[in-house]
Amino acid sequence: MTRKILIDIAVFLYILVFVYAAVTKLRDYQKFVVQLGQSPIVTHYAKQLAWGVPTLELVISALLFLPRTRVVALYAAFSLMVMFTTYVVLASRFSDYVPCSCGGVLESMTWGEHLAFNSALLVLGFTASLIHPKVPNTASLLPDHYGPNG
Amino acid sequence: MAKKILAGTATTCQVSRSPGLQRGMTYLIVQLKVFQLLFESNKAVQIMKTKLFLPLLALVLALASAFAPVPPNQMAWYKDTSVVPPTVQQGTITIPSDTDAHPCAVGRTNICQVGSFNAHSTEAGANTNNPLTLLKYD
Repeated sequence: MTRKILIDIAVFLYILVFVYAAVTKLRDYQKFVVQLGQSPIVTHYAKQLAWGVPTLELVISALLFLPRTRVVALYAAFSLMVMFTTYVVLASRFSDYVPCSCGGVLESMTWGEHLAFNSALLVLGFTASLIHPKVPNTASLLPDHYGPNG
Repeated sequence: MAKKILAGTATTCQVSRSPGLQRGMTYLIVQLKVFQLLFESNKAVQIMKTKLFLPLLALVLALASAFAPVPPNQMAWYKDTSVVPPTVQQGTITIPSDTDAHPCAVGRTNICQVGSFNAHSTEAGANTNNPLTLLKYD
């Protein structure tokens, strides 16, 4: 029961954060491109990332919706969060001022707050990936007698 | 006579009841099957609702927050001296923070900043670090 609650919380938070971040980035696309261009780490890939990151966030959120793809999506969400956290660490250590291209209210966080926020999501995502049943339960949406043999 | 009529009716009834009963039973079985299927589909829908409730709630909250009106940010010019060569860029004023108005203007007290760089009202002013174009707040 505790396992299920933990997985539900992780799925809920990842969908909330990813969809919110993706939509706010796409709503203010030009600003997002400019912010990525100001970053010394990803300047050369600003345009590709400006589409790629929100798309990836939305795809992972869609996969988190479906019980069949949830475990794969949890791994993907955790991996993406590892990349974001690495970027936060690099950006905060190697540049005086890099605007956070996070979207919406997430931009108002300081690098330290951002690191704490990402770390919390990382721990949650990692734990949920570990405790999630490894074999996707494909029959879970069907009534009990609808087994593999009908 | 009466006995004959009654017997005839009974025979007729027996004869006509047999296919009717069969039809009725078939109808009843079909109805039961339909109810069973409806119940099962409802059960499936209920399971789906339970499993998808939290993700749907997260989606709705995320979209509502993303489309909520945001306070206008004030943009300014600044010279990024952390890169070589230093370049003038436009960015959102971060100091003062947590304000929903446009607090910075020329001729006030405290210098507004974009990150760690001074905010200017013009690109040329940022490039030459002109004190007359410095944006300040009270």
